[in-house]
Amino acid sequence: MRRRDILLAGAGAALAAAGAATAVAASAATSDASVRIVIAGAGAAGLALAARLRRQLPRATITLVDAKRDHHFQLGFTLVAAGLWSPADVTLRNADFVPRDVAWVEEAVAAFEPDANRIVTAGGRTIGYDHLFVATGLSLDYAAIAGMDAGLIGRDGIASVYAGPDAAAATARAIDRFVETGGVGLFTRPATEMKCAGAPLKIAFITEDKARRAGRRAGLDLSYCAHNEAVFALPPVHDRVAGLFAGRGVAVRYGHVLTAIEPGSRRATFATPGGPVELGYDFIHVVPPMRAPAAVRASPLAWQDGPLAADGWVEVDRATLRHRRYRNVFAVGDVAGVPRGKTAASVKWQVPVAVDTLVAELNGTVSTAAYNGYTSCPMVTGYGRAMLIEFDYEGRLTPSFPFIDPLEESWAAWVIEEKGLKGAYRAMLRGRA
Amino acid sequence: MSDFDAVVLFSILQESLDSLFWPVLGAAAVLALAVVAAAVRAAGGGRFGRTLRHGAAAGAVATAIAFVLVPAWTQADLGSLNGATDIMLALLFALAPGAVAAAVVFVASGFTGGRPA
Repeated sequence: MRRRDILLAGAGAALAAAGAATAVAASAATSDASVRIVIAGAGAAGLALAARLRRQLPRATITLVDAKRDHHFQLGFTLVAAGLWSPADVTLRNADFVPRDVAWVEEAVAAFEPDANRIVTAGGRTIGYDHLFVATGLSLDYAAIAGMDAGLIGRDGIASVYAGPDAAAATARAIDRFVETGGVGLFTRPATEMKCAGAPLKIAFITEDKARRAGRRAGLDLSYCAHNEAVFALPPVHDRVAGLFAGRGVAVRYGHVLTAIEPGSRRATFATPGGPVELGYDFIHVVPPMRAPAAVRASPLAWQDGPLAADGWVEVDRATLRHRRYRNVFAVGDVAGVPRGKTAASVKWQVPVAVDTLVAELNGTVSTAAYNGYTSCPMVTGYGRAMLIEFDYEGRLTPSFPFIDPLEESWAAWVIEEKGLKGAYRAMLRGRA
Repeated sequence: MSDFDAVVLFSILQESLDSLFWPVLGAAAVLALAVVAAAVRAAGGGRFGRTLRHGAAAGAVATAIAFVLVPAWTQADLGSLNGATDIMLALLFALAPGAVAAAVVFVASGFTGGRPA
Protein backbone atom coordinates (compact mmCIF):
# COMPACT_ATOMS: atom_id res chain seq x y z
CA MET A 1 0.00 0.00 0.00
CA ARG A 2 1.44 3.38 -0.90
CA ARG A 3 1.94 6.18 1.60
CA ARG A 4 -0.28 8.54 -0.36
CA ASP A 5 -3.12 6.00 -0.38
CA ILE A 6 -2.94 5.68 3.38
CA LEU A 7 -2.96 9.41 3.91
CA LEU A 8 -5.96 9.80 1.64
CA ALA A 9 -7.79 6.97 3.37
CA GLY A 10 -7.08 8.49 6.76
CA ALA A 11 -8.32 11.89 5.70
CA GLY A 12 -11.47 10.35 4.28
CA ALA A 13 -12.15 8.47 7.50
CA ALA A 14 -11.68 11.62 9.55
CA LEU A 15 -14.12 13.53 7.36
CA ALA A 16 -16.67 10.75 7.60
CA ALA A 17 -16.37 10.70 11.38
CA ALA A 18 -16.79 14.45 11.56
CA GLY A 19 -19.86 14.21 9.39
CA ALA A 20 -21.37 11.52 11.58
CA ALA A 21 -20.57 13.50 14.68
CA THR A 22 -22.49 16.49 13.43
CA ALA A 23 -25.64 14.53 12.69
CA VAL A 24 -28.46 16.56 14.12
CA ALA A 25 -31.51 15.08 15.73
CA ALA A 26 -34.89 16.40 14.70
CA SER A 27 -34.97 19.81 16.36
CA ALA A 28 -37.75 20.48 18.85
CA ALA A 29 -40.07 23.46 18.42
CA THR A 30 -39.34 26.57 20.47
CA SER A 31 -41.31 29.59 21.55
CA ASP A 32 -40.30 33.10 22.61
CA ALA A 33 -43.22 33.35 25.02
CA SER A 34 -42.31 34.99 28.33
CA VAL A 35 -44.38 32.75 30.56
CA ARG A 36 -43.94 31.73 34.17
CA ILE A 37 -43.55 28.00 34.60
CA VAL A 38 -43.43 26.11 37.87
CA ILE A 39 -42.27 22.51 38.05
CA ALA A 40 -43.27 20.76 41.26
CA GLY A 41 -40.70 18.06 41.92
CA ALA A 42 -37.08 17.51 40.92
CA GLY A 43 -37.10 13.80 40.35
CA ALA A 44 -36.62 12.17 36.96
CA ALA A 45 -39.62 13.91 35.42
CA GLY A 46 -38.99 17.29 37.03
CA LEU A 47 -35.37 17.57 35.96
CA ALA A 48 -36.06 16.28 32.46
CA LEU A 49 -38.89 18.82 32.15
CA ALA A 50 -36.66 21.63 33.39
CA ALA A 51 -33.98 20.81 30.84
CA ARG A 52 -36.32 20.64 27.85
CA LEU A 53 -38.42 23.62 28.88
CA ARG A 54 -35.27 25.69 29.35
CA ARG A 55 -34.15 24.92 25.80
CA GLN A 56 -37.52 25.19 24.10
CA LEU A 57 -38.75 28.28 26.00
CA PRO A 58 -35.64 30.45 26.27
CA ARG A 59 -37.56 33.49 27.54
CA ALA A 60 -39.72 31.69 30.09
CA THR A 61 -39.18 32.05 33.82
CA ILE A 62 -38.85 28.52 35.14
CA THR A 63 -38.96 27.61 38.80
CA LEU A 64 -38.24 24.12 40.12
CA VAL A 65 -39.62 23.34 43.57
CA ASP A 66 -38.25 20.43 45.60
CA ALA A 67 -36.60 20.16 48.99
CA LYS A 68 -34.51 17.11 48.09
CA ARG A 69 -30.85 17.60 47.31
CA ASP A 70 -30.08 13.95 46.68
CA HIS A 71 -31.35 12.41 43.47
CA HIS A 72 -31.86 8.67 43.45
CA PHE A 73 -31.36 6.53 40.38
CA GLN A 74 -34.18 4.23 41.41
CA LEU A 75 -33.66 1.83 38.52
CA GLY A 76 -30.49 0.74 40.29
CA PHE A 77 -32.17 -0.16 43.57
CA THR A 78 -32.68 -3.74 42.39
CA LEU A 79 -28.95 -4.10 41.75
CA VAL A 80 -28.23 -2.72 45.22
CA ALA A 81 -30.63 -5.27 46.67
CA ALA A 82 -28.82 -7.94 44.66
CA GLY A 83 -25.61 -6.95 46.41
CA LEU A 84 -23.98 -5.81 43.17
CA TRP A 85 -24.12 -2.04 43.53
CA SER A 86 -23.66 0.23 46.52
CA PRO A 87 -25.98 3.02 47.70
CA ALA A 88 -23.46 5.52 46.36
CA ASP A 89 -23.87 4.06 42.89
CA VAL A 90 -27.53 5.14 42.85
CA THR A 91 -27.17 8.54 44.51
CA LEU A 92 -26.73 11.65 42.38
CA ARG A 93 -26.99 15.34 43.24
CA ASN A 94 -29.90 17.38 41.98
CA ALA A 95 -27.59 20.39 41.84
CA ASP A 96 -25.62 18.72 39.06
CA PHE A 97 -28.69 18.50 36.85
CA VAL A 98 -30.71 21.66 37.51
CA PRO A 99 -30.22 23.67 34.32
CA ARG A 100 -28.63 27.09 34.36
CA ASP A 101 -31.20 29.86 34.49
CA VAL A 102 -33.76 27.66 36.21
CA ALA A 103 -34.56 28.86 39.71
CA TRP A 104 -34.58 26.11 42.32
CA VAL A 105 -36.70 26.61 45.44
CA GLU A 106 -35.41 24.06 47.92
CA GLU A 107 -38.70 23.51 49.69
CA ALA A 108 -41.43 20.93 49.38
CA VAL A 109 -44.77 21.82 47.88
CA ALA A 110 -47.34 21.98 50.67
CA ALA A 111 -50.40 22.91 48.64
CA PHE A 112 -51.62 23.25 45.07
CA GLU A 113 -54.13 26.05 44.38
CA PRO A 114 -54.87 25.68 40.68
CA ASP A 115 -57.90 27.96 40.82
CA ALA A 116 -55.54 30.75 41.81
CA ASN A 117 -52.70 29.49 39.57
CA ARG A 118 -50.28 29.13 42.44
CA ILE A 119 -48.59 26.70 44.74
CA VAL A 120 -47.64 27.12 48.38
CA THR A 121 -44.37 25.76 49.71
CA ALA A 122 -43.70 24.16 53.08
CA GLY A 123 -41.96 27.36 54.07
CA GLY A 124 -45.10 29.38 53.36
CA ARG A 125 -43.91 30.87 50.08
CA THR A 126 -46.54 31.43 47.42
CA ILE A 127 -45.41 30.95 43.84
CA GLY A 128 -47.69 31.94 40.99
CA TYR A 129 -47.52 30.44 37.53
CA ASP A 130 -48.89 30.62 34.04
CA HIS A 131 -48.25 26.93 33.59
CA LEU A 132 -47.69 24.20 36.14
CA PHE A 133 -46.00 20.83 35.70
CA VAL A 134 -46.73 18.43 38.53
CA ALA A 135 -43.86 15.95 38.81
CA THR A 136 -43.88 15.17 42.50
CA GLY A 137 -43.54 11.43 42.22
CA LEU A 138 -45.53 9.30 44.63
CA SER A 139 -45.62 8.41 48.29
CA LEU A 140 -44.83 5.02 49.76
CA ASP A 141 -47.54 4.33 52.32
CA TYR A 142 -45.89 1.82 54.64
CA ALA A 143 -48.25 2.93 57.41
CA ALA A 144 -51.16 1.46 55.46
CA ILE A 145 -49.83 -1.96 56.49
CA ALA A 146 -50.64 -2.37 60.15
CA GLY A 147 -47.48 -2.89 62.17
CA MET A 148 -45.19 -1.85 59.33
CA ASP A 149 -42.78 1.06 59.37
CA ALA A 150 -39.92 1.91 57.03
CA GLY A 151 -37.60 1.78 60.03
CA LEU A 152 -38.14 -1.98 60.23
CA ILE A 153 -36.47 -2.60 56.88
CA GLY A 154 -33.43 -4.79 57.39
CA ARG A 155 -34.60 -6.08 60.78
CA ASP A 156 -36.30 -9.34 61.76
CA GLY A 157 -36.39 -10.65 58.21
CA ILE A 158 -38.14 -7.59 56.76
CA ALA A 159 -36.93 -6.23 53.44
CA SER A 160 -38.18 -3.57 51.04
CA VAL A 161 -36.29 -2.32 48.05
CA TYR A 162 -38.41 0.78 47.39
CA ALA A 163 -37.66 2.95 50.40
CA GLY A 164 -34.29 4.18 49.19
CA PRO A 165 -30.63 3.23 48.63
CA ASP A 166 -30.03 2.35 52.26
CA ALA A 167 -33.20 0.27 52.37
CA ALA A 168 -32.10 -1.53 49.21
CA ALA A 169 -28.73 -2.27 50.84
CA ALA A 170 -30.50 -3.47 53.98
CA THR A 171 -32.62 -5.68 51.71
CA ALA A 172 -29.45 -7.20 50.28
CA ARG A 173 -28.22 -8.02 53.78
CA ALA A 174 -31.60 -9.45 54.74
CA ILE A 175 -31.57 -11.66 51.65
CA ASP A 176 -28.08 -12.89 52.51
CA ARG A 177 -29.16 -13.77 56.05
CA PHE A 178 -32.24 -15.54 54.75
CA VAL A 179 -30.23 -17.56 52.25
CA GLU A 180 -27.89 -18.55 55.05
CA THR A 181 -30.54 -19.50 57.60
CA GLY A 182 -33.32 -20.73 55.30
CA GLY A 183 -37.03 -20.89 56.03
CA VAL A 184 -40.15 -19.33 54.55
CA GLY A 185 -39.81 -16.32 52.27
CA LEU A 186 -42.76 -14.19 51.17
CA PHE A 187 -42.72 -11.60 48.40
CA THR A 188 -45.61 -9.15 48.30
CA ARG A 189 -47.23 -6.70 45.91
CA PRO A 190 -49.83 -4.03 46.83
CA ALA A 191 -53.25 -3.68 45.27
CA THR A 192 -52.65 -0.03 44.40
CA GLU A 193 -50.97 1.44 41.33
CA MET A 194 -47.23 1.26 41.80
CA LYS A 195 -43.97 2.25 40.23
CA CYS A 196 -41.89 -0.42 38.58
CA ALA A 197 -44.39 -3.24 38.95
CA GLY A 198 -41.68 -5.71 38.01
CA ALA A 199 -39.51 -4.99 41.04
CA PRO A 200 -41.38 -7.30 43.47
CA LEU A 201 -40.86 -10.12 40.98
CA LYS A 202 -37.20 -9.22 40.49
CA ILE A 203 -36.49 -9.51 44.22
CA ALA A 204 -38.09 -12.96 44.26
CA PHE A 205 -35.99 -14.07 41.28
CA ILE A 206 -32.79 -12.66 42.78
CA THR A 207 -33.37 -14.34 46.12
CA GLU A 208 -34.07 -17.68 44.47
CA ASP A 209 -31.01 -17.44 42.24
CA LYS A 210 -28.75 -16.36 45.08
CA ALA A 211 -29.84 -19.32 47.15
CA ARG A 212 -29.39 -21.71 44.23
CA ARG A 213 -25.88 -20.43 43.49
CA ALA A 214 -25.00 -20.77 47.17
CA GLY A 215 -26.20 -24.37 47.19
CA ARG A 216 -28.85 -23.51 49.77
CA ARG A 217 -32.00 -23.52 47.66
CA ALA A 218 -33.40 -26.64 49.30
CA GLY A 219 -33.66 -24.84 52.61
CA LEU A 220 -35.92 -22.07 51.26
CA ASP A 221 -39.68 -22.20 50.83
CA LEU A 222 -40.51 -19.25 48.58
CA SER A 223 -43.93 -17.77 47.81
CA TYR A 224 -44.85 -14.80 45.66
CA CYS A 225 -48.08 -13.18 46.87
CA ALA A 226 -49.85 -11.71 43.85
CA HIS A 227 -52.49 -9.08 44.57
CA ASN A 228 -54.92 -10.50 42.03
CA GLU A 229 -55.15 -13.46 39.65
CA ALA A 230 -51.97 -12.66 37.75
CA VAL A 231 -48.32 -12.03 38.51
CA PHE A 232 -48.16 -9.41 35.76
CA ALA A 233 -50.85 -7.38 34.02
CA LEU A 234 -49.92 -8.55 30.52
CA PRO A 235 -51.06 -12.14 29.90
CA PRO A 236 -48.01 -13.24 27.88
CA VAL A 237 -45.71 -11.88 30.55
CA HIS A 238 -47.79 -13.46 33.28
CA ASP A 239 -47.56 -16.80 31.51
CA ARG A 240 -43.81 -16.50 31.10
CA VAL A 241 -43.12 -15.38 34.68
CA ALA A 242 -45.50 -17.93 36.17
CA GLY A 243 -43.70 -20.58 34.14
CA LEU A 244 -40.32 -19.45 35.41
CA PHE A 245 -41.60 -19.43 38.98
CA ALA A 246 -43.00 -22.93 38.55
CA GLY A 247 -39.72 -24.17 37.11
CA ARG A 248 -37.78 -22.72 40.04
CA GLY A 249 -40.10 -23.90 42.77
CA VAL A 250 -41.47 -20.46 43.68
CA ALA A 251 -45.10 -20.88 44.69
CA VAL A 252 -47.63 -18.21 43.79
CA ARG A 253 -50.43 -17.25 46.15
CA TYR A 254 -52.97 -15.37 44.06
CA GLY A 255 -55.27 -12.76 45.54
CA HIS A 256 -53.10 -12.11 48.60
CA VAL A 257 -52.68 -8.49 49.66
CA LEU A 258 -50.55 -7.75 52.73
CA THR A 259 -52.55 -5.85 55.34
CA ALA A 260 -50.65 -6.38 58.60
CA ILE A 261 -47.33 -7.59 59.90
CA GLU A 262 -46.10 -8.66 63.35
CA PRO A 263 -42.32 -8.29 63.26
CA GLY A 264 -41.72 -9.93 66.60
CA SER A 265 -43.53 -13.13 65.86
CA ARG A 266 -42.90 -12.94 62.13
CA ARG A 267 -46.52 -13.31 61.14
CA ALA A 268 -48.10 -11.55 58.16
CA THR A 269 -51.79 -11.11 57.48
CA PHE A 270 -53.15 -11.02 53.95
CA ALA A 271 -56.56 -10.02 52.64
CA THR A 272 -57.83 -12.68 50.25
CA PRO A 273 -61.14 -13.25 48.49
CA GLY A 274 -61.89 -15.91 51.06
CA GLY A 275 -61.09 -13.74 54.06
CA PRO A 276 -57.92 -12.89 56.03
CA VAL A 277 -55.07 -15.38 55.90
CA GLU A 278 -52.16 -15.37 58.31
CA LEU A 279 -48.78 -16.69 57.21
CA GLY A 280 -45.59 -17.13 59.14
CA TYR A 281 -42.36 -16.03 57.52
CA ASP A 282 -38.63 -15.94 58.09
CA PHE A 283 -38.15 -13.34 55.35
CA ILE A 284 -40.67 -10.99 53.82
CA HIS A 285 -40.19 -8.46 51.03
CA VAL A 286 -42.71 -5.73 51.69
CA VAL A 287 -43.93 -3.52 48.86
CA PRO A 288 -46.10 -0.74 50.31
CA PRO A 289 -49.27 0.68 48.84
CA MET A 290 -48.46 3.76 46.77
CA ARG A 291 -50.39 6.96 46.43
CA ALA A 292 -50.01 10.50 45.21
CA PRO A 293 -48.32 12.79 47.76
CA ALA A 294 -50.61 14.36 50.34
CA ALA A 295 -50.46 17.83 48.78
CA VAL A 296 -51.71 16.42 45.49
CA ARG A 297 -54.40 14.21 47.06
CA ALA A 298 -55.75 17.20 48.98
CA SER A 299 -55.88 19.40 45.89
CA PRO A 300 -58.46 19.79 43.12
CA LEU A 301 -55.91 18.32 40.72
CA ALA A 302 -56.65 14.74 41.67
CA TRP A 303 -59.13 12.53 39.84
CA GLN A 304 -62.51 13.16 41.42
CA ASP A 305 -64.03 9.84 40.45
CA GLY A 306 -63.15 6.65 38.66
CA PRO A 307 -60.57 3.96 39.33
CA LEU A 308 -57.70 6.44 39.79
CA ALA A 309 -59.50 8.66 42.31
CA ALA A 310 -58.91 6.65 45.47
CA ASP A 311 -55.17 7.29 45.59
CA GLY A 312 -55.16 10.89 44.41
CA TRP A 313 -53.42 10.59 41.05
CA VAL A 314 -53.57 13.74 38.94
CA GLU A 315 -56.41 13.82 36.42
CA VAL A 316 -54.72 14.15 33.04
CA ASP A 317 -55.43 13.24 29.46
CA ARG A 318 -53.57 10.02 28.87
CA ALA A 319 -52.15 11.13 25.52
CA THR A 320 -51.00 14.70 26.23
CA LEU A 321 -50.57 14.54 30.05
CA ARG A 322 -52.51 17.83 30.20
CA HIS A 323 -54.96 18.22 33.07
CA ARG A 324 -58.52 17.55 31.99
CA ARG A 325 -59.96 20.50 33.98
CA TYR A 326 -57.08 22.89 34.50
CA ARG A 327 -55.75 23.49 31.01
CA ASN A 328 -52.55 25.16 32.16
CA VAL A 329 -51.50 22.19 34.27
CA PHE A 330 -49.64 19.05 33.23
CA ALA A 331 -48.62 16.01 35.27
CA VAL A 332 -45.70 13.83 34.32
CA GLY A 333 -44.17 10.74 35.86
CA ASP A 334 -45.42 8.60 38.71
CA VAL A 335 -48.02 11.12 39.91
CA ALA A 336 -49.83 11.26 36.56
CA GLY A 337 -53.18 9.53 36.69
CA VAL A 338 -52.86 7.38 33.57
CA PRO A 339 -53.48 3.65 33.22
CA ARG A 340 -49.80 2.74 32.88
CA GLY A 341 -46.44 4.40 32.90
CA LYS A 342 -44.90 4.55 36.33
CA THR A 343 -41.37 3.87 35.16
CA ALA A 344 -38.41 6.04 34.20
CA ALA A 345 -38.75 4.87 30.61
CA SER A 346 -42.28 6.23 30.64
CA VAL A 347 -40.94 9.61 31.79
CA LYS A 348 -38.53 9.61 28.85
CA TRP A 349 -41.51 9.55 26.48
CA GLN A 350 -43.95 11.63 28.52
CA VAL A 351 -41.74 14.68 29.01
CA PRO A 352 -41.28 15.62 25.33
CA VAL A 353 -45.01 15.16 24.71
CA ALA A 354 -46.02 17.48 27.55
CA VAL A 355 -43.40 20.08 26.61
CA ASP A 356 -44.22 19.99 22.90
CA THR A 357 -47.93 20.29 23.70
CA LEU A 358 -47.33 23.47 25.68
CA VAL A 359 -44.89 24.95 23.17
CA ALA A 360 -47.31 24.34 20.31
CA GLU A 361 -50.09 26.05 22.23
CA LEU A 362 -47.86 29.05 22.91
CA ASN A 363 -47.10 29.20 19.20
CA GLY A 364 -50.80 29.11 18.36
CA THR A 365 -50.63 25.64 16.90
CA VAL A 366 -51.55 22.14 18.03
CA SER A 367 -48.99 19.47 18.74
CA THR A 368 -49.46 16.01 17.30
CA ALA A 369 -47.21 14.44 19.93
CA ALA A 370 -48.94 11.81 22.02
CA TYR A 371 -47.87 9.45 24.78
CA ASN A 372 -48.92 5.90 24.01
CA GLY A 373 -48.46 4.48 27.49
CA TYR A 374 -44.96 3.19 26.83
CA THR A 375 -43.67 1.37 29.90
CA SER A 376 -40.49 -0.59 30.20
CA CYS A 377 -39.47 -3.20 32.70
CA PRO A 378 -36.04 -4.80 32.42
CA MET A 379 -37.11 -7.75 34.53
CA VAL A 380 -34.10 -9.30 36.19
CA THR A 381 -34.72 -13.04 36.44
CA GLY A 382 -31.37 -14.01 37.91
CA TYR A 383 -27.80 -12.85 38.17
CA GLY A 384 -26.73 -12.05 34.62
CA ARG A 385 -30.17 -12.55 33.07
CA ALA A 386 -33.17 -10.37 32.41
CA MET A 387 -36.17 -9.99 30.13
CA LEU A 388 -36.64 -6.63 28.44
CA ILE A 389 -40.38 -6.13 28.65
CA GLU A 390 -41.84 -3.04 26.97
CA PHE A 391 -45.51 -2.35 26.35
CA ASP A 392 -48.09 0.34 25.70
CA TYR A 393 -51.52 1.35 26.96
CA GLU A 394 -53.17 -1.42 24.97
CA GLY A 395 -50.99 -4.07 26.56
CA ARG A 396 -49.10 -4.70 23.33
CA LEU A 397 -45.47 -5.69 23.65
CA THR A 398 -43.41 -3.00 21.92
CA PRO A 399 -39.79 -4.16 21.81
CA SER A 400 -37.26 -1.50 20.94
CA PHE A 401 -34.58 -3.93 19.86
CA PRO A 402 -35.75 -6.49 17.29
CA PHE A 403 -32.90 -8.84 18.20
CA ILE A 404 -33.95 -9.12 21.86
CA ASP A 405 -36.95 -11.38 22.45
CA PRO A 406 -38.90 -9.68 25.28
CA LEU A 407 -40.02 -12.96 26.78
CA GLU A 408 -36.67 -14.71 26.72
CA GLU A 409 -34.06 -14.36 29.42
CA SER A 410 -30.93 -12.85 27.98
CA TRP A 411 -27.62 -11.42 29.03
CA ALA A 412 -28.23 -8.61 26.54
CA ALA A 413 -31.22 -7.42 28.57
CA TRP A 414 -29.10 -7.71 31.73
CA VAL A 415 -26.37 -5.57 30.11
CA ILE A 416 -28.94 -2.87 29.36
CA GLU A 417 -29.92 -2.93 33.05
CA GLU A 418 -26.42 -3.11 34.51
CA LYS A 419 -24.45 -0.99 32.05
CA GLY A 420 -26.78 1.00 29.84
CA LEU A 421 -29.59 2.47 31.90
CA LYS A 422 -27.66 4.84 34.15
CA GLY A 423 -26.06 6.76 31.28
CA ALA A 424 -29.36 6.90 29.43
CA TYR A 425 -31.09 8.11 32.60
CA ARG A 426 -28.56 10.87 33.17
CA ALA A 427 -28.90 11.94 29.55
CA MET A 428 -32.66 12.04 30.05
CA LEU A 429 -32.25 14.32 33.09
CA ARG A 430 -30.38 16.74 30.84
CA GLY A 431 -33.12 16.59 28.24
CA ARG A 432 -30.86 14.88 25.71
CA ALA A 433 -32.53 11.47 25.61
CA MET B 1 -35.45 2.36 24.78
CA SER B 2 -36.36 3.50 21.26
CA ASP B 3 -35.47 6.65 19.44
CA PHE B 4 -31.67 6.27 19.62
CA ASP B 5 -30.07 8.56 17.07
CA ALA B 6 -26.40 9.57 16.90
CA VAL B 7 -26.88 12.59 19.14
CA VAL B 8 -28.74 10.60 21.76
CA LEU B 9 -26.16 7.82 21.69
CA PHE B 10 -23.38 10.38 22.03
CA SER B 11 -25.10 11.88 25.06
CA ILE B 12 -25.64 8.49 26.64
CA LEU B 13 -22.01 7.55 26.10
CA GLN B 14 -20.89 10.86 27.56
CA GLU B 15 -23.08 10.43 30.62
CA SER B 16 -22.03 6.79 31.01
CA LEU B 17 -18.33 7.64 31.04
CA ASP B 18 -18.88 10.84 33.01
CA SER B 19 -15.52 12.41 33.90
CA LEU B 20 -13.67 9.80 31.85
CA PHE B 21 -15.41 10.75 28.62
CA TRP B 22 -13.07 13.45 27.31
CA PRO B 23 -9.85 11.70 28.45
CA VAL B 24 -11.01 8.52 26.69
CA LEU B 25 -11.94 10.47 23.58
CA GLY B 26 -8.60 12.26 23.66
CA ALA B 27 -6.70 9.02 24.06
CA ALA B 28 -8.64 7.49 21.17
CA ALA B 29 -7.80 10.47 18.97
CA VAL B 30 -4.11 10.24 19.87
CA LEU B 31 -4.12 6.51 19.14
CA ALA B 32 -5.87 7.06 15.81
CA LEU B 33 -3.26 9.61 14.78
CA ALA B 34 -0.52 7.24 15.90
CA VAL B 35 -2.03 4.49 13.77
CA VAL B 36 -2.07 6.74 10.71
CA ALA B 37 1.50 7.82 11.36
CA ALA B 38 2.64 4.23 11.86
CA ALA B 39 0.86 3.18 8.69
CA VAL B 40 2.60 5.90 6.71
CA ARG B 41 5.97 4.98 8.17
CA ALA B 42 5.47 1.25 7.65
CA ALA B 43 4.32 1.79 4.08
CA GLY B 44 7.36 3.94 3.42
CA GLY B 45 9.59 1.17 4.76
CA GLY B 46 7.84 -1.56 2.79
CA ARG B 47 6.62 -3.13 6.06
CA PHE B 48 2.92 -2.38 5.90
CA GLY B 49 1.82 -5.98 5.44
CA ARG B 50 3.93 -7.26 8.32
CA THR B 51 2.80 -4.42 10.57
CA LEU B 52 -0.82 -5.14 9.73
CA ARG B 53 -0.36 -8.84 10.55
CA HIS B 54 1.21 -8.01 13.93
CA GLY B 55 -1.68 -5.72 14.81
CA ALA B 56 -4.31 -8.19 13.65
CA ALA B 57 -2.77 -11.01 15.65
CA ALA B 58 -2.63 -8.94 18.81
CA GLY B 59 -6.20 -7.78 18.25
CA ALA B 60 -7.46 -11.33 17.78
CA VAL B 61 -5.79 -12.57 20.97
CA ALA B 62 -7.00 -9.60 22.99
CA THR B 63 -10.54 -9.98 21.65
CA ALA B 64 -10.60 -13.65 22.59
CA ILE B 65 -9.45 -12.92 26.13
CA ALA B 66 -11.85 -10.01 26.45
CA PHE B 67 -14.76 -12.14 25.25
CA VAL B 68 -14.27 -14.48 28.18
CA LEU B 69 -14.04 -11.58 30.60
CA VAL B 70 -16.89 -9.40 29.28
CA PRO B 71 -19.68 -11.11 31.29
CA ALA B 72 -17.69 -10.57 34.50
CA TRP B 73 -17.44 -6.88 33.59
CA THR B 74 -21.24 -6.82 33.82
CA GLN B 75 -21.29 -8.75 37.11
CA ALA B 76 -22.45 -11.91 35.35
CA ASP B 77 -20.69 -15.08 34.30
CA LEU B 78 -19.98 -16.77 30.99
CA GLY B 79 -22.94 -19.07 31.54
CA SER B 80 -25.26 -16.08 31.32
CA LEU B 81 -24.76 -15.88 27.56
CA ASN B 82 -27.93 -17.34 26.11
CA GLY B 83 -28.08 -17.58 22.34
CA ALA B 84 -26.62 -15.87 19.31
CA THR B 85 -27.64 -12.34 20.31
CA ASP B 86 -25.82 -12.56 23.63
CA ILE B 87 -22.72 -14.04 22.01
CA MET B 88 -22.62 -11.39 19.29
CA LEU B 89 -23.08 -8.63 21.85
CA ALA B 90 -20.28 -10.03 24.01
CA LEU B 91 -18.08 -10.20 20.93
CA LEU B 92 -18.92 -6.60 20.09
CA PHE B 93 -17.90 -5.46 23.55
CA ALA B 94 -14.73 -7.58 23.33
CA LEU B 95 -13.79 -5.90 20.08
CA ALA B 96 -13.22 -2.61 21.91
CA PRO B 97 -10.19 -3.78 23.91
CA GLY B 98 -9.26 -5.94 20.94
CA ALA B 99 -9.13 -2.90 18.69
CA VAL B 100 -7.06 -1.00 21.22
CA ALA B 101 -4.57 -3.87 21.47
CA ALA B 102 -4.42 -4.14 17.68
CA ALA B 103 -3.80 -0.41 17.35
CA VAL B 104 -1.08 -0.33 20.02
CA VAL B 105 0.79 -3.26 18.49
CA PHE B 106 0.32 -1.82 15.00
CA VAL B 107 1.85 1.46 16.13
CA ALA B 108 4.71 -0.28 17.91
CA SER B 109 5.40 -2.49 14.93
CA GLY B 110 5.08 0.37 12.48
CA PHE B 111 7.66 2.48 14.24
CA THR B 112 10.19 -0.27 14.87
CA GLY B 113 12.46 -1.62 12.17
CA GLY B 114 14.36 0.69 9.82
CA ARG B 115 13.67 1.62 6.23
CA PRO B 116 15.10 -0.67 3.55
CA ALA B 117 18.54 0.33 2.39
